[in-house]
Amino acid sequence: MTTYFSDQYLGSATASSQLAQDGTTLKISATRQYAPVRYMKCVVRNLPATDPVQDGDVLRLFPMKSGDVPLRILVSTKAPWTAATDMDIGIALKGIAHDGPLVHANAVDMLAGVVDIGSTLEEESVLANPGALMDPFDDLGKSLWEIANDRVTGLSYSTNPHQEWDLIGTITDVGGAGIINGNIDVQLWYTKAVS
Amino acid sequence: MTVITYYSDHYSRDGDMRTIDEGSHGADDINGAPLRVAIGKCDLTAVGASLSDGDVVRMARIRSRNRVVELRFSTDGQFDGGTSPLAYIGFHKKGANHDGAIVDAEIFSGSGGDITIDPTNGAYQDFNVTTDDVAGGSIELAGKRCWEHAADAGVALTQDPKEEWDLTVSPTDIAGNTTSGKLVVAMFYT
Repeated sequence: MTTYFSDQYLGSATASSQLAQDGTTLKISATRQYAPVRYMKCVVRNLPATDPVQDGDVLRLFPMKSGDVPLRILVSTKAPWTAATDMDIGIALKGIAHDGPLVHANAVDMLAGVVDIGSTLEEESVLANPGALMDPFDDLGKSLWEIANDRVTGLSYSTNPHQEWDLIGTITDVGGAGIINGNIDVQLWYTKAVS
Repeated sequence: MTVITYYSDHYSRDGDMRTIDEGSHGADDINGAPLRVAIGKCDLTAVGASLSDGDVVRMARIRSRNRVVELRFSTDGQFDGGTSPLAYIGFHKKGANHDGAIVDAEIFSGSGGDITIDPTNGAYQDFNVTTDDVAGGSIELAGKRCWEHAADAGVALTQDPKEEWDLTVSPTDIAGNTTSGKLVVAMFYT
């Protein structure tokens, strides 16, 4: 029987059966060892009948910081979204009043693409969804800016830009004249990067 | 008709759930305690065909007193060629240098609660081990201390041994047919 060690012991995710010879082990970042988990929930209700939601419309969901580490994103919906309606989940700059642009044009689906909100969902974990762009092995435990480096073509940060961002949902495939009275709940489990 | 009020274990602990026990409340670590996360990752690709049944992957460091609120396990399912490879999740003692003895390798999965890894599925398979994602799993598992999970699995413990443990994954039923496999564990605990 052989014992292998995770990156909690090695500092690298490549399996090894060898720890440090001096009897010590590398301690990984506290962010991934015992960091406190934080929670946010947002609710979008009764989108106006006078201004139906169209493809490309944006829901600003949560204020976040570029150093935040997303752990779980749970999406819940109920009727009356049309059956084909999807939502991409990405990141935009806060701007002056939560009116900033995407951090990059390709960041519209940085965290999840084509999340099906056209049917009743109960807490779909988009970070674990096989169709999500997030890769648990590569991305879980990373800060938003690091995930941006991994997932957004054309974007590259050498360090945390220390920016205020918004987590946004972009509606697609609504169809027809748009949708009124749509609703959606999003829960976010996250932590703060600890160096 | 008389309406009766019953009280949860946050109020009543004397066995009669119709009465409040003076001063009784949930333990501090299950009643408003900060939730924490430990994330461990291991890429077994380099191990290749050397990986064998009974091998152990030490994924994360925990203490026997920690309460597991939610335990998520993901794998890319690249245990190529296997017919029904499984992952067992349990505990080993830390020992002097993470070389300690087994507590039980099949606590969160194993007997009656196996995690079956589809060897043909290259996409990530994600399991919430503390719910019915896994046969034998149950919401009743959430919030128990690690040593209580071990006791439930048959380990002779009647109180917290106050030890440092490792959360371990043991691939099983893979002999002779393993070429790769990425493992991710995210344990939310107090």
